Amino acid sequence: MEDYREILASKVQELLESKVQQAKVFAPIARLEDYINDFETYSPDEEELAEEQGELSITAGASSLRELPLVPAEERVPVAAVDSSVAILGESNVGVFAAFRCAIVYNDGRLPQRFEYIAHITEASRDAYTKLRSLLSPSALHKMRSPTCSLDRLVYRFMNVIERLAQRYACTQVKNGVVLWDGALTRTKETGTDVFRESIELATKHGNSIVAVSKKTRLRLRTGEKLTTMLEGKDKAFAVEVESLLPDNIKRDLMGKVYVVKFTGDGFPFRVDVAPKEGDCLLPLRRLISSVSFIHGYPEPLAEAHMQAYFTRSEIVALQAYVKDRYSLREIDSFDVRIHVLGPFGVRP
Amino acid sequence: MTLVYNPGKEKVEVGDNIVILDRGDGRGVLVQVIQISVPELPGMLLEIVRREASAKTPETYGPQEISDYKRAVEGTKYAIARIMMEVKKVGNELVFEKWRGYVPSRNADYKHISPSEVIGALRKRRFEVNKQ
Repeated sequence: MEDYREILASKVQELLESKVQQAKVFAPIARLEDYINDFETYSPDEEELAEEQGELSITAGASSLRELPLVPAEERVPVAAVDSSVAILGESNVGVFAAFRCAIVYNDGRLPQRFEYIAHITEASRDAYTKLRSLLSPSALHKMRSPTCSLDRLVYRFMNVIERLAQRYACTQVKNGVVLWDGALTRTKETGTDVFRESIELATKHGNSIVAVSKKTRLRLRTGEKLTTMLEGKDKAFAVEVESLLPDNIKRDLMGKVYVVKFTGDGFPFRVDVAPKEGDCLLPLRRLISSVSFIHGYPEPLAEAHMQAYFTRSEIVALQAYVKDRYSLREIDSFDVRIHVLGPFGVRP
Repeated sequence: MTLVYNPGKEKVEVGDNIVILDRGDGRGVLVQVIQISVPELPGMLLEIVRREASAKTPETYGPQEISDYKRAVEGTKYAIARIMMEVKKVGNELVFEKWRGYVPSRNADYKHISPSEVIGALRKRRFEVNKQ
C-alpha cells in the first residue's frame, strides 16, 4: 500500500523540482489581492463542467422534497478534514512560480498537519505533473498523456493532484470515522472515476465514510430557485436527498450520494456528497453531527483546515522573497498590458 | 522620511542620526529618527488571528528556510525620521549643508553618524554662516 505521508512529505516536492527550467528574472505579482487562494473559488475543471452542464435542475418542485431529520448519533467518531490552497507568486521568463499548501485537521487531539510546496511551473513541468498524477492511479499510467493546457492552468492541475493526495492521506489517518473533503464527489476530466474509486476504497478499507461539503452549488429547482437558498429558513437539522431527482447525464458523473444538508438548525444548508463505508448514507452525517462542532452550519474541522491552508498576504511577500533568493533571480516589475492600453479603467479600484 | 528595516540585521533607535546617501549621485540627507513602529502589513492581522485561534501549532512539512523569510517579514519595522541637513560626498568626506528639498532615491546607502559628528557639522555650518 502507498505511504501517502511519505509522498506528501518528500516525493511531491522532489517531483516538483525535477527537470526544472532555470529562470533569470522574477516578476512578483503586482496586486496581492489578485491571487486566488481557495482552490474551490477557481477550479478550471469545475468551470468547464459548469459551462458544459449549466445549472443542475432537479426534476421536482419544492413540495416534493423529502426532509430526512438528522438526529445526532450516540457516539463520537474520529474525523479528519482536508483543505488546500494555491498562491501564484509571480512570473519568470519561462513560467510561473506558485506555492501550494494542504492542511489536515483532526478532532481527536492530534496536531493539525500542513504540507507546503514551492514550484516553478514551466513547460518541463508537464512531465512532472503526469508522474504526480500517476501516484493517484498507478494502473492508469500507460493511458496518461501530458496535459496540453496553458501554464496558468497547469498550476491549478498541480493543486488538484496535491489536494487529492492529501485526501488519500486523510483517508488512512482515522479508523471507523469520517473524512471531510472540501468540494463535491463529481467526476471531472481532471479527476476521473479511477481517482475517486481508489480514494473511496481506501477510506472504506479503514472503516471511514467520506463526506464532501460544497460551499458553492449549481443545484436548482425546476422553477430556477437555488435549492440551498430555499432551505435556508428552516430551523432544524435535516438532509434532502436530491440525487434521484437529478437528470441521468448528471447522475453518471456522481461518485457518491448527493444531499442538501442543514447540519444545524441555525446554520446554512450545503450540498453534501456522501460515500458511506456501508449502505446507509445518513449514518455518517449523524455521526459527524455528534462528533464535531459547526460554524454557521459548516463543519468546524473543515473551516480550520481552510484557515491552516490559507496563504495570508504577508506570507506571500515572504515566499516571493524566498523564491528570489532560492532561484537567484533578478527582480523585475510585472507587466500588465491592460494598465497601459486601458489606463485607469484597466485596473480595479 | 520613512525607513523600513529588518531589526534582525539592523539596529535603529529613536534619536539615531543616519546619513542616507544616494548611490547614483553621491548626494543625500542627514536624518534623525523620531519614532519607531511596525508597519500595517496586509494579512498580518490574519496571521495573528490564525495563530491565536489554533490551540496547537501545526506540524509543518516543507522547505525549512521559508520560516526565516516569514519571520523577517513579520519582524519588519519602520522608523520615521526628520531631515536635518543635506549631505554631499566629496572624495571620502561627507560635507553637510543646508537642506534645500533634495530627497535621495531608494537606491541608497545608510550610515549611522555619531552625535559628535553631527554637532561638529552643525558648528562648522554655523561658523560658515557667521563668516558670510
